[in-house]
Amino acid sequence: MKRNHDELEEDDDEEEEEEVDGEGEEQEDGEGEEEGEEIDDDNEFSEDDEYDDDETCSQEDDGNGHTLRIRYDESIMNMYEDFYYEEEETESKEGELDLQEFEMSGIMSKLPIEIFFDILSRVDIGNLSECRWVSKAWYNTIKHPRFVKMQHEKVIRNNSSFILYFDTWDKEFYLGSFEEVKEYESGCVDIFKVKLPRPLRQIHSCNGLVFSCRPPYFVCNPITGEHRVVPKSPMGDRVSILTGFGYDIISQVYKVIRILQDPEWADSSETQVEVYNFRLGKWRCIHNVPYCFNLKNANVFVNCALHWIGVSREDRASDVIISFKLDSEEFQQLPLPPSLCSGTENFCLYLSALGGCLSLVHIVSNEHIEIWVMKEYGLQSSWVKEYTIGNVMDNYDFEITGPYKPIELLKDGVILHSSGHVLGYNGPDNIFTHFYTVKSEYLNSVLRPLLHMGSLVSPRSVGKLRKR
Amino acid sequence: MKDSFNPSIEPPKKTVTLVSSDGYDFEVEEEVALESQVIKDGFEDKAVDDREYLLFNVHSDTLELIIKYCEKHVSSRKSISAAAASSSSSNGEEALKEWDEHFISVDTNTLYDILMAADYLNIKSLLDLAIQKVADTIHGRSPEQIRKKFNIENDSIIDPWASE
Repeated sequence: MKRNHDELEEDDDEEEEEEVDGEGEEQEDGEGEEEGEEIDDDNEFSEDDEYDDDETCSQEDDGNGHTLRIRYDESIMNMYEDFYYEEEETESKEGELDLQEFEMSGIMSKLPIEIFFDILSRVDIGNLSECRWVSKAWYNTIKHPRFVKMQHEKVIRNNSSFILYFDTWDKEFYLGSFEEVKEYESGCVDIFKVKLPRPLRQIHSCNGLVFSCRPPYFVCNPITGEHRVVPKSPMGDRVSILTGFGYDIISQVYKVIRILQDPEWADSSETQVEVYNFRLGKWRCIHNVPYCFNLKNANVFVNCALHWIGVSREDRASDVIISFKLDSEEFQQLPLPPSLCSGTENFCLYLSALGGCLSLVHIVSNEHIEIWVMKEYGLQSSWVKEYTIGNVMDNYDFEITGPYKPIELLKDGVILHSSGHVLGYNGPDNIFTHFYTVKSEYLNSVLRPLLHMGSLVSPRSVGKLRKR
Repeated sequence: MKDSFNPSIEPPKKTVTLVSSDGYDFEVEEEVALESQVIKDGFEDKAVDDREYLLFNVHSDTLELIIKYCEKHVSSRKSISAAAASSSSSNGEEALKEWDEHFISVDTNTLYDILMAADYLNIKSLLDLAIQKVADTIHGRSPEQIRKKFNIENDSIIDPWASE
């Protein structure tokens, strides 16, 4: 079994290298039979036991399975270096691509590549991920940078995100759609599962990738399972109180930021920020940042900037919204709604993003929250109190470990979650009409929900431009 | 059966002859043929008596289906706009959608032929319909089922995450 896996990977590797030259026929015949059998086995297995998640699985993780994964990753890494260059080359001879290059078999083999791309781009992301294992040609097509780009743009156009559930200790993701949240009042959803090379603790999601913000840092595409480790920063030994992950739309590069601040907020200690640019492959340090950050805030990505709540070093009396522009790498201050500018206690404000706008959750009490939306970015007068939600705990006896935070707007309401595994759905009457338990039948642990954009973008290709 | 497509409606309309790859002539109304962007492009420049198109890539069986589709769409469009003009309620678009759905529910080989023909003739709505159908066919199927459906040789690399 193990031996076969290895052979196949090598085969895959060579296939990818050869593809640059538009060849890649060899190898196949000799091993054909063996491969076929192996794959058949595997497929039967995957159909029956796809969601099998018991001890057998984790035991293998510690043994052979683990090494296998690492090997796979390396092969993908090599492959992607080749792949990226291929994209650059094919850009120039646009339209000459056809499925013959992909060694397509079957009746779809003569389809123009653009049509095949079009077909696949209409398949939803969970299925698409599965489709990679139909054949080598399908695998290569779905991995093709041009297809990845096309699919990515389509997702942005349709604004079709879904909820990603992750277990803080496991290596698995679950994906669920908003329709499911509305449909089911409780119980389990049929969610798509992906195995990951490492467990995630706390993550940020941005533009199709997630960032795991406990060292060692890595970015990962939960759809494809590919990941890439972020190198240690110059001040990596110091513990960062906050991290951020965002996408600079202008330079088209992902960036990670670490905020280093004395937890005691001592006057003498300066706030420092480190920024990692995936294209440059370098960390940059910004000293003397004139803000103190509120520790309990996750980063919120809106309008090409990351946002936190904190105070200005000059004026600590009231909270402000601190924004970090990812293109210019500069800090900026945004106004809170006038009524919240003073007199609000620390830690009762949470930032969020709703429908592409910066929004603010004001925890009035544990049972009562208000959600504000900044309709026009940066404009204080555009803050609108959009939702007032009371009695959030009355009807249910869930042990709620924290306040509700919104994760996304629906047509007629907003989906909320607390730090436990409870999702609330706030319907058109501005009251909770649905509660939804995100509980997996496969695990006993708590899953955390997160809004995620389903893309095939590879964490390995994001920085490769640098080499050209 | 295949060689004549006689519009016996009065008054006689302008027609175009489409010739399939296997040599059958199809005489269709001008506006039906114009559903194809390829035919439409440069149509006016062509002499009236020279309006014959040799469709080397479209077999008669497929061409018959394509013509059926175009005729339906031309006539539906007329009735929809007529209904809109008289501001009477009509479910014409709904009905057409249903008809499309029924029309495209064909076996994989036929679907492929329609797809290729729609691409070749550049009939956008039909191409879109066929592409969506293929996507729907893929949807919810396992890799093995997809291979079977589209007769694809199994040379897949193994999904390293799916099962161990």
